Amino acid sequence: MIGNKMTRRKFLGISAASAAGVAFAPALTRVVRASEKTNDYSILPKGKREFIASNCDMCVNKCGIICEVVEGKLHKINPNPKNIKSRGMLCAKGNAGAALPYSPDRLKTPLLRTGKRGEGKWKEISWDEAFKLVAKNLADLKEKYQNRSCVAFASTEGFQEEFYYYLVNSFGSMNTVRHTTLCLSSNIQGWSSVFGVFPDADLQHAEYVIMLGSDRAQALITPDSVDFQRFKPKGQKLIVLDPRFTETAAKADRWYPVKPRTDQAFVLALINVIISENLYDHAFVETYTYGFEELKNLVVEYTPEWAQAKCEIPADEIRQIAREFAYHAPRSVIYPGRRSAFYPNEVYIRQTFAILAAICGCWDTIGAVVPKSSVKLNMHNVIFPFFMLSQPRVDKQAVGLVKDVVPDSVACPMVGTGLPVDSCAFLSEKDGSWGSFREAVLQDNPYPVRGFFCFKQNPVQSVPNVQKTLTMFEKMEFICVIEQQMSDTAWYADLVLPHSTYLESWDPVHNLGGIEPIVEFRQPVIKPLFDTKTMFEIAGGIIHEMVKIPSLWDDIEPADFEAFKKDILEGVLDKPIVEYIQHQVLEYPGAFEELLKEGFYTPDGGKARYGSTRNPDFRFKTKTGKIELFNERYKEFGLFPLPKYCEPSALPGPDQYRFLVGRTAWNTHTSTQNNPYLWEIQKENTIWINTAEAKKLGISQGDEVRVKSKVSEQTIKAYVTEKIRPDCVFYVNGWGRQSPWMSQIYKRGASESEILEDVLDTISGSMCMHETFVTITKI
Amino acid sequence: MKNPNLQAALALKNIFFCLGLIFRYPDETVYTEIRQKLEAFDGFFSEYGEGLPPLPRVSDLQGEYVSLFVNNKGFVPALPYASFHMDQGQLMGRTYFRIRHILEESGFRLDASAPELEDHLSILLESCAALVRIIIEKNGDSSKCQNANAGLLELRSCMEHWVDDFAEKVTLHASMDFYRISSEALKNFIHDLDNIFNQVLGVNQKNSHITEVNR
Repeated sequence: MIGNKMTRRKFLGISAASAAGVAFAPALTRVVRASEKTNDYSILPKGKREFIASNCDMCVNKCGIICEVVEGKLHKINPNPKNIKSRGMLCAKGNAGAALPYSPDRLKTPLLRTGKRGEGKWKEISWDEAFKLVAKNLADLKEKYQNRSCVAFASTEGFQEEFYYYLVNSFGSMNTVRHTTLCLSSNIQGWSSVFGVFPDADLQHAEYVIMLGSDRAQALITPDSVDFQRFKPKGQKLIVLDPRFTETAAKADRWYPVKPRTDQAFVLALINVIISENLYDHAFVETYTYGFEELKNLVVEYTPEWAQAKCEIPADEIRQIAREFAYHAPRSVIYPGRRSAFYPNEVYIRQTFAILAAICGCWDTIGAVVPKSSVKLNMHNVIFPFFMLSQPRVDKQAVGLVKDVVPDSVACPMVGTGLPVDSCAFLSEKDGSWGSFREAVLQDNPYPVRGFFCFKQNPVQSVPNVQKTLTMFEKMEFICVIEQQMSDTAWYADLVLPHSTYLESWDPVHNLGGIEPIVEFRQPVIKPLFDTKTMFEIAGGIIHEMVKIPSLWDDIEPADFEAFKKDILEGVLDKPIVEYIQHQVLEYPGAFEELLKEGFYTPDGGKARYGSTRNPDFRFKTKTGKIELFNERYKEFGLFPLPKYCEPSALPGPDQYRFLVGRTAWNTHTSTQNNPYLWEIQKENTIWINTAEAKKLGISQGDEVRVKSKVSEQTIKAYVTEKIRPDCVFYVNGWGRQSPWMSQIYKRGASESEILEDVLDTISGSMCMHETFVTITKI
Repeated sequence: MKNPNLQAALALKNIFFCLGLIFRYPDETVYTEIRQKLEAFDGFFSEYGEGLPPLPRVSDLQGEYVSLFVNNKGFVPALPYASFHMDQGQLMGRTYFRIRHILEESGFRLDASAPELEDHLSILLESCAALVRIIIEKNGDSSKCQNANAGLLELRSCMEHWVDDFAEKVTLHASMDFYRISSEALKNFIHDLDNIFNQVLGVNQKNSHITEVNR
């Protein structure tokens, strides 16, 4: 036809007889007269420019943002200069959040799998259909297995997560597994074993800081990263231990390329020196601590010379650091940080850090580590039914299942009966342990788990040993993923529910912890672009369909069912979320208005709260009520009550390297690499290898190499550098993606979760990120 | 402006609407409507393409639609948003706002129940149908339908910028003929619109006050 221009007669000829006479169904019309009913979003605010305060969700920090919105479109995200937690800073990730709602790859509507899992064949379905489908699958699984815990629910922290738990608790499964055992659970447990809580570091006022394996210049944490950048140059002394010369190491007064897995030996030697040279805070130890004599006896053998043989840091320098730390106390910080477990004795490493802080009195005072403060919020007291058919969680009962993934050198008597839980570990049971949970599911022990829900977590990419995770998925009869993008996990789902971005939704009020008390929330800065919903709406929609299925409620009392509908649905989920938020801050007149205006609220001007626990009558959340240098609960559970040093059960072989992972300042784990702005900064990862080792292996800069562990292998380009120990290799996480729908990063670089073996920390059940040994070969 | 030929204008309106339906997600209602009405456009598809596109089963068509236009391996092969093509790969760019202005100036808006962006190809085509309807209703009186005339020309110009690329990508990635044949016919039709508007509606650049998208 091209080239043959249409004449009026010819057009009449082809069309008049048939096309002109067609009458389409009026209901199919979507472009309507302006006078007819319209979406308020379609009223264009011509020329309107607004600045709306909210909070970032590109990582865990939740920094304050001011969104510039022009004619209904997010134009730019600026930092909120008033936000005391983020210190008026916004990083590259925070700025790049502006691309999120406008990503062509984002999920736009509920998708139901029509082909095989992972084949990529989908159909769109309505939310009503999706809610019905979820409710039906829950009912079917409950009927088939007569156990509500046959459906597992995974999630990660976030402001909407509480509504996910409305869904979990409305179904009654005990099997929830959060991100913490891939994150900082061992860190929390180690510090909590001493102080009963996990504290923050007052880097703003500290005079002396020791950081072990924390790269605050790259792995951003607010306010710590901001304070580190701002106050380090003002005279603060910084000691960094890291097998890599990181950006943080570059700013240190002294950097030690510590031998991996020996950090604890270094800190035990510091404690040895401080006690043996009588440099500890006698008054503090006597008033607040428990078990000093036992500690003193333990560390006698951990001399600087002993430590030097382990960690390769000269004994003289260990002595000097110990003396300096004690000299600057209490304004000395051994930095708690925020990182996942590296080694199987991670809880003990963190316990050792906490003990060092405790004996020097570096606790709850200016310049020390300080317990988190909070703002008391008005809780929505809802009570979920007690379901008769809910069996205890699988990882709690995983008798003997984890012994193969817990190294025997730090043998824990508990391994034979499953990892210690709540009462010993101080963590809520709902966090679970990803490693032991997966083992239990794979072995159908103690019962089958056949349903899997996942909210904003990406276990296929984030849990070590991908093949095991995929094998676990094969056991599932129904997988539902609630996400913003087609993550690697969503790719294997049966049903994908699109979640609104943080810029399109209301989020409830949350405490941020920290030294200064502050609460934040989120408000929509733009209207949702597509047919997405928030977890608040999704939970409400699914639960409404669940209450229509009688078999889902036959193991509770009828009166409880009526109370459930009244309290949960009518009382919370059927109301606008704004009412929920207003209820949370009811005790503080003007707080809601302040949240709308500033994005955060702080009751007393955000002043740091020091000293609330420095009262001889204060009862710490430990068994003795004291700061425990000797942990009584560990003793009860047959664990080492003191931070005894354990030799590694395995070390790299002659041709092997210890595999290290880490983060950059411009990406958050596995969640942001597909962002187009951030992709401009980094398009793939590379593997760091020491120059001398590269030479031995014939590897030059940029060469493709094969990284091989016991579980898998990956191909990646080499970055040959002096900035890493010869016995280690390293790459940043989040690359080499499985999901072809992550358009920018599909098969770009290499995945760490493919390489990592699943080794668990003895106490917390955390996945150990630095306990895998690899070989490297040039391709 | 010449008075439009009513029958030809009605045909034009219906062709736009039909194409809008074809490039819209084929739920049961849309699919049924296409199945029932497609044959009436045999002449159109024969003139601009390879003849009527063979309509597969609804489940296959839905899978094909998602994989071509919503999400798929590596990237969305043929994103149907004008802004994506004209504003450096982002949604809701400058073009999107211009298209919303065109609709508003012509007295139209997107229905509240449509969770879609106004620059989606199916909405653009349906918008053209709505604008042709205005011209028909005003009997071509240029003083009463200047915005509609201008809007039509501007939407045509917008689609003309990216329809070749769009059709090429559909052809490359389609696993069945329906969207391949339809997008090829769409491409040829869009390129002929300037002439059709002039011949059928008497609408051309000279009697319009348009400012082209992206000008």
